[in-house]
Amino acid sequence: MSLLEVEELRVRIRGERGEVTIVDGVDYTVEEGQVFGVAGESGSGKTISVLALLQLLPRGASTSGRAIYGGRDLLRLSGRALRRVRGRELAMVFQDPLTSLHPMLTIGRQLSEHVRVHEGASKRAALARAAELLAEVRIPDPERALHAFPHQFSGGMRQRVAIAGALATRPKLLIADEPTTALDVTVQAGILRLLDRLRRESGLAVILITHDLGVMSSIADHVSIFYAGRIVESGPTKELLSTPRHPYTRALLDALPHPVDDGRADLLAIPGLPPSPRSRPAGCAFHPRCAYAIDASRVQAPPLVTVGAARLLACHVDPFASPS
Amino acid sequence: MSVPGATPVRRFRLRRPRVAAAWRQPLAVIGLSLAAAWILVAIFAPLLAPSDPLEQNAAPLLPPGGDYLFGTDELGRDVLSRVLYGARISIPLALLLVGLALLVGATLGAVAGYFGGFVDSIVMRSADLVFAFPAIILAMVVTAVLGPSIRNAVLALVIVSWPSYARVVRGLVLSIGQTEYVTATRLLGASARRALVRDVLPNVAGPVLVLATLDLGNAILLLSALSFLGLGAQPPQPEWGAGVAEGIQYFQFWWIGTFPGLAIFSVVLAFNFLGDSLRDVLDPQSSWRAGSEEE
Amino acid sequence: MARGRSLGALIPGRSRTRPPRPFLRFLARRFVALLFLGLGITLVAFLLTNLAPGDPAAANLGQRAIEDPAAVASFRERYGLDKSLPEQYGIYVWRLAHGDLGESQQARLPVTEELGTFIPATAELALLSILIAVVVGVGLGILAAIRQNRLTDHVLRVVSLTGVSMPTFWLALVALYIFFFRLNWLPGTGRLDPQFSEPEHRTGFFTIDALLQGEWATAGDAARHLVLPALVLALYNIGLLTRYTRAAVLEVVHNDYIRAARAKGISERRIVLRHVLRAALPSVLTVIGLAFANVMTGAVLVENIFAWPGIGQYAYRSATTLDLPAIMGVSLFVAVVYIVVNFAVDVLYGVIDPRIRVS
Repeated sequence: MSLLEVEELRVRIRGERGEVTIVDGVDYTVEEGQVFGVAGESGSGKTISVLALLQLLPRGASTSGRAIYGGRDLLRLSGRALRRVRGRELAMVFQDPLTSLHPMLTIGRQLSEHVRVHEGASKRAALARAAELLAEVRIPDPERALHAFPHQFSGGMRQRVAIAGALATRPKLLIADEPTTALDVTVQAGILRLLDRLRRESGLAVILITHDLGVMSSIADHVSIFYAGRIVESGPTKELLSTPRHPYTRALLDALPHPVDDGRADLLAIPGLPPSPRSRPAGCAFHPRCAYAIDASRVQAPPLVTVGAARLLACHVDPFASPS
Repeated sequence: MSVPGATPVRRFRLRRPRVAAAWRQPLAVIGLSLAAAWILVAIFAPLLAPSDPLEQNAAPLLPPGGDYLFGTDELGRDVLSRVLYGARISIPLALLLVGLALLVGATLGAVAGYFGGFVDSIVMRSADLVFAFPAIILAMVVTAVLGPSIRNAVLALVIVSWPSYARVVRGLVLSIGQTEYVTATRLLGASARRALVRDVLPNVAGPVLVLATLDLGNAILLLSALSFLGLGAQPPQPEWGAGVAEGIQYFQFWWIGTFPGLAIFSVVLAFNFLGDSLRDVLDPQSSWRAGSEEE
Repeated sequence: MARGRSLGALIPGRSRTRPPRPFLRFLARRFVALLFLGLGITLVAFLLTNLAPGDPAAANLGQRAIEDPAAVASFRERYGLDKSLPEQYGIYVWRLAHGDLGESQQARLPVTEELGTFIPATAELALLSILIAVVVGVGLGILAAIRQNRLTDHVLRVVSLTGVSMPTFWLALVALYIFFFRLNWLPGTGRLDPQFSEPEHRTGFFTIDALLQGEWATAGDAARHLVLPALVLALYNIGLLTRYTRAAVLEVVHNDYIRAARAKGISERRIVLRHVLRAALPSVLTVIGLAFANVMTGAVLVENIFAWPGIGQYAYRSATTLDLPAIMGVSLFVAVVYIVVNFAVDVLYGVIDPRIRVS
């Protein structure tokens, strides 16, 4: 049985100009110890789809579908049961470490509060545990760091602290929303190594959201590509990135600067802009930007179907199907 | 090596003031109707009032009801007529006072923000000085010194109210002055004054309008407070604050003070409802509804 | 960072016990600025009262004395009115530095002595009123914020606007009429009923002094006298604090760190009280500073109506009789309150927000 099974997840947000569908029917499963990558442009609904799992959506949002974790539907939890799952079983790391730690509370207090709330440990024990956690994410001089405030650390260090906080109660699944986007490239690598080590050592599963396919290829086991609130293609990372089948995935990869390129080759940018959730095109949402679109693409949204071992694709045309 | 088109930078949606939105707010409608009603009362008081506000033609201290809807005061004057005529004193004076304070404050603030340096410090330190005194104490001293009269009360209140406009306008001028289009205008060779008048001032109009509307309420409160203390309107003027003061003298006869006080309250409430709703529309950052829209 | 980005260089030890230098320097700068403001205030107070067209001699001498040139001259000499303005100001500041505010023209008593008797009465009333306003206003502000855009929030918006629209002096009249005259639940004017004698002066707060001396009945009576004026004074600040607390809380609620706290499974109650309120505190503190100024304004009106023997009444009496030394004394006192409150707010910012403390 999988760790997490998401079925037909839909999120609608009621705004000033009516209801908008942000996530439009998404299915996926995450296995224990797996790094599950979610990629897509901003506005594709990837962040909203994971915030929905922890019921962290802004007011006015409504969710439908199911997200089965440990035999329970995460979307239907409330009160104490919800709080037990949040932080204890599922934890989350946010994009910007500058804003995801409370600026006026000491690191020690923020980490120990988490431990105490969930495990009812004494203050002293919780602080000791907090120091261990800091050591685990390789913060130098953890005892001293307990008394420091977030602004006294660099961005990378703060992200390590945030991860330490998320891991405080040994969750089984960590949701990391663009955890390295706000950081320098060198710092990025450190954070990714840290996540990889935690996964190997403690069997932690990670849902990793990023728009950066480079990050994805270095750590994710499995990748799902989001476009306009749906998954358009998914599969094992290596395979998917080497033989993309969806025109959108293909375009994303073509747009990457090649490592051996001297920079003279023009970037193949995708024509057009990703559609806003308010005005998604009918049919396949990608068709206005797609060179392979056929009549059916404009009329009917293609279903996500199996196209090989562990590979799924939502395209009427499938122009890059392997000839075999 | 990130995906082009995937902009991690949050996109800001330029929000244009939507005046129509004000009409969906009951507070704005209530405030506007109440304010309009009072302005009409001020204009048409002679037609509306059943009798002369100064005429002592009835038995004194009659309770409300009968011929005298709001009763009569200790001198046998009709309280209703005095309340209606009171609108002719407080409302125009509040408008005048806020207009003057705005003119003085906005000018000084714009000049301070635009030129900076020495001019700036003189203006802003003076503003600090005024802020250090509670409005009414400074106004009280000024009116006491100039002699108690409604004209001096207005003058005193202009002296205590200009700094808030100066601060707001200065801040806005400073922030707008650094935006690209103003810099661009100046690079194109427009004169400093032209840039100030053409580009900067129209952009400060919204927040200043909000401030002024909310300040109208404050002006009426302070003006009537000064009159209440005997430092503003002098008897036998039917001023509201003075009316409440009479009510305190003739304490048992509740109607003498209650109705003028209610008049002050309703006018101030009208302007505050209006100003607060305007703030929603024109100045979303500081509005009551701030943060209500999430992406 | 010259010494490189080693962590040791970034963490200045236990910052709570030994505040690092930059914050102290900031406070020192603020303090000097406020002192200059104080000096400016003495000048304003001095000029205002001396450039007046009104004649203090006329205001303070009787009808007969004013016709006697010798009496007028001696009055002028007595109060230094015969000297030039800069000289008068110099003398004024010199005396001020020695704690001498001159002698009031009305009561012929040293102004410092008069202030000494009036300040505790106002302080007792004002502090209680601010306490009420902070508890109620901050509470309502939080409530409005967590019920954002729902009925409670809309109702509180109207309540808050009503609070700031109500003329204090009228509210005082209505409150007196209902609770004293009609219902007779609470006493009307003054600090004590006539059958009680003032408790021996320790703090000048009747309630506290009476309690210290075990005079329960007196303490109870003093407390009952405080209720109406303190509530009337508090209403405006309640409106103000509700509005600004709500705004401050909403600004904080949408931050990632609050979402992060929620993601950790911390209870909503704890999030609001520990995380949100803590971050909103600096903004709330600013408004509390403002509340002091509002309470001084209100005190002038409320003290006059409730016959409360405090600074507000003294200010009013001095202003209407053009009692120059007294007016200057009051202005100075008010300015000192302003300076102290502002400085306290600055210090508290640093205590609350570590980012200010070290950077």
